[in-house]
Amino acid sequence: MTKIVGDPNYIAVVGPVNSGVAKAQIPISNAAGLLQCSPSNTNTALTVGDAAKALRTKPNNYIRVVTNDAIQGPAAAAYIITVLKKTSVYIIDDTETFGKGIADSFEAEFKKRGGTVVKHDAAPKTTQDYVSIMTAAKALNPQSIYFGGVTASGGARIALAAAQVGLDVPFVGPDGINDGSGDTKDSFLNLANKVAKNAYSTLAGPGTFEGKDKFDADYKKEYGIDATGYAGQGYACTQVVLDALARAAKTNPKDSAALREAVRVAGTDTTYEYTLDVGKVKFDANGDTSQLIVSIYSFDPAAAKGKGDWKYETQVDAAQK
Amino acid sequence: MTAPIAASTITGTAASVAGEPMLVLEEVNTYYGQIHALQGVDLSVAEGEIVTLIGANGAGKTTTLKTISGLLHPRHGTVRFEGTDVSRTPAHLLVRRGIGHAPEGRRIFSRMSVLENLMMGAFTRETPTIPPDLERVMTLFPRLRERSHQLGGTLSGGEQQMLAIGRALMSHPRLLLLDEPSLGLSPILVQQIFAIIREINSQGTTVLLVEQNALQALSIAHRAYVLQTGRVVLAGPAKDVMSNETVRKAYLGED
Amino acid sequence: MTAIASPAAQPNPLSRGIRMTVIAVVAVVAYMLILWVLLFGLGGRTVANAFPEALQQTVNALSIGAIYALIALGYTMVYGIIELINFAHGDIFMLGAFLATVFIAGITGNNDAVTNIPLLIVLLLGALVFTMPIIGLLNVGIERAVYRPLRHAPRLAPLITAVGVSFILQNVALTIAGSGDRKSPQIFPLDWTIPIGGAQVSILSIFIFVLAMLLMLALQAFVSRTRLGRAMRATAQDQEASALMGVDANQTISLTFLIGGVLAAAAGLVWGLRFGFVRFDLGFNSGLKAFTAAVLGGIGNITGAVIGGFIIGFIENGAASLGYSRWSEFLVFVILTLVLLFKPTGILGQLTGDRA
Ligand SMILES: Nc1ncnc2c1ncn2[C@@H]1O[C@H](COP(=O)(O)OP(=O)(O)OP(=O)(O)O)[C@@H](O)[C@H]1O
Ligand SMILES: [Mg+2]
Repeated sequence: MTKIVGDPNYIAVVGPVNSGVAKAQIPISNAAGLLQCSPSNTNTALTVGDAAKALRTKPNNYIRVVTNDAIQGPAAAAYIITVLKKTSVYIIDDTETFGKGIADSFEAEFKKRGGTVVKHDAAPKTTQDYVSIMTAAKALNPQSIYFGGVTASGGARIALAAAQVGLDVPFVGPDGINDGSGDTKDSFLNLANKVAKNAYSTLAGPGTFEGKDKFDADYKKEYGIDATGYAGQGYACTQVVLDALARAAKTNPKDSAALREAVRVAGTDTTYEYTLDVGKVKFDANGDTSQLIVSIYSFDPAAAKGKGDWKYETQVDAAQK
Repeated sequence: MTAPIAASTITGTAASVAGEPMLVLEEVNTYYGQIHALQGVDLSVAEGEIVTLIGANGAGKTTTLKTISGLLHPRHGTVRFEGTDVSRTPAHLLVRRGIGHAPEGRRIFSRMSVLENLMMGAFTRETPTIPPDLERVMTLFPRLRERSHQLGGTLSGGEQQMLAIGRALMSHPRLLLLDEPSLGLSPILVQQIFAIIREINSQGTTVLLVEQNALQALSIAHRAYVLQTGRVVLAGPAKDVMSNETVRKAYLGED
Repeated sequence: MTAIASPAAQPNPLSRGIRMTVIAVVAVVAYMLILWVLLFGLGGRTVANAFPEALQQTVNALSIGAIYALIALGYTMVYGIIELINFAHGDIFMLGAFLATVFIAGITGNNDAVTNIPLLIVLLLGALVFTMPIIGLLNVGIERAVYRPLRHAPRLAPLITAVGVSFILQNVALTIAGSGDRKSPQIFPLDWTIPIGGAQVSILSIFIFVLAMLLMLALQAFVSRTRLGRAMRATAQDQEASALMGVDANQTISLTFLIGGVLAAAAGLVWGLRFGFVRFDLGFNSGLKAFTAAVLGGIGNITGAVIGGFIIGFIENGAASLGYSRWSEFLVFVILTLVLLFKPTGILGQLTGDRA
């Protein structure tokens, strides 16, 4: 990032993918006034609250087209209660910022909706024996499991252990386990394929939008891989940057530094409504999107040539509550 | 006491080359790093002898025995055992060639039983030969028989010394190196140990004995060497050494 | 006097074995009862349904404990003989887990449970016969190539080298297998259970425990009753005196690394069967816990390592059972610290040597 901000030819950045990386990058890009649009950062503290303020020394330069974990976690809670009709849940998180944060926001919403949290346990990613933990979970007789974390911090291991002890209830996790099909190396579905029949995951953006089929087909043709996870959001960020550039150009900036600043101003304009592939979107002063949509996925064992893949189920729009 | 010893192993293989003594040290120089501990030691032991090595503390007696048994190797000079140069042969192979060494400080395996210690002594032996050997050692040291299941570390000093000697005998050595076997023993036990050394010798084992207890050692030895700061300063029949003026003054406590 | 001529390892070894077994059984039952009480006392279970849960968790504790114990033996034996804390031993276990995974996946070609019993037995035995010698010899090779030249160097040199070897092994696995979890085929049917006291006890747990116990008993018999085993103990106690008995220290040390590697490989196999994944950094945490187990039991002491392994397994399981998983590592180290504070040489007490 330091290299990028030092090169006047860069006028905006699409990325990063991980919230942890964003936390390191934002102070640098902010100081340089470089527009950054993330297709997939969901950590609430990147945009809201004192933690977010601490990352910035200058006017905001960071926007994201996905909504944040304060929306994503509760959406899963709403889905479990209203659609899956399960009234109790066992929560386990990986003790890390993302995992614990989303599990906490899930728990609050689940309780608010009258559900019972039988236990909220936490196991760091270095945990060895998930079987014992799931044995305890099973004894509490939950109707569902919510996992706060990512595949690499234990998602698949917990699903495997739950199956081993015969805890056969819906297993729901955030975008951290929506990381590709059963054919994707290291993915949740690859590792937990055998036991994933009851698995659900969420993404902090619309799972379907107008023209998605065409987008998926074009994407596959261009890159030779399936458009998974936040591929549509990646494109949306590109649209944001190009749109901002077009508007910035109209102000006739005198040099590359002025252009960069003009792009930032145009990009973060809270009054402007973008028309993106994922829909019509505005960004607030924090850089968060007005689109509060979280989509829910279930496991389709027949997809990806029998290796299994996530299948879009429905979406929960927190704006329409 | 004539315990059942496997006589063939003792007499049959001691063939010395061209009449050379069983053990010959020539110009042996052994170092500990920079420390020049043995400074050209010449020494020999003929088959059937008891030879004693005496000298003041730090003279190099223990170093000599370790150089013979292969725990140390000389930087210059040679050690020949039964005609073969064994200067570079490691200790664990020399046991198989017939050198037994009961080291200074006994060095028994304290967390093994007496019986296991003796079994360790027989490490290089064929299994069928072990029971008669055990019997021989236990006849020499009846105390060990009584204590055979006791842990080595819980034996008294004297019992430990018996065990150390017994353990060295279990390998059927043709040459037995004993480093201060009487150290820390009561006078009666010292007498007994020396009697047993004689007994072992009479059963056919050659003995090289290092002792502080010079008078006792000289009285049972055939020949003796006096070591002083890494050099042999006197050698000869035990009787002659015993009557030597300097020796009487330095080692036998006379003035 | 033929009676004394037949060598016996210890004073009354049989009664000692029986006493140890009784203590172990009492400890396990006590753990189960305490857990039962805690589960309905603290965990909000009812008295009736807490019992099968406590039983189930005790079985879980025995299987993870058995895995730690198998790994801990490698630490304790190597320490016992050359006073080296072999930091790379956890990674030897990790490679064992990978190799077993590769073997089973290579043969079955899929991720399914094998319900045909003879076929399952052949596969499991095959995996053991394949991985144990390879990993054992790898361990021997590492000692030959890296630790042996440093045998007489200052103590810190081999220690740092062991840390280096650990990094190398991890990076080898990282390069070949990547950084994520790798799927390990769970060929042992996980739905095979037997109902005991209201609990469904998984046969895999029993298999892991029994396999580990058989290996540990075999080791115990080897070390206490055979000529080479005695030589190993002797070398651990006094290398120079052992040399005077005719024991080749290098050979004995190689044998120690071989056995340590073989046991770690077995632990690796059962790890994959139970948890369904392997990862390049698996050896770090497992290794740390197994090392802790060895220290807890009294490093250098074989029985101690086994006891320590099970204690760590029980601590971890207790934390998980009561919903304090995040504290389990913390708890392990608190207990280690306490034991070392009051008994610096570990539970069984000897720093080196006594391996019976
Ligand atoms: N491991 C060692 N490292 C350095 N120097 C040593 C070592 N062992 C012995 N020495 C030195 O070598 C010399 C000879 O020692 P050695 O043990 O052979 O004497 P000794 O005649 O057996 O004495 P004592 O009667 O006290 O047993 C001594 O000066 C001693 O300090
Ligand atoms: Mg000495």
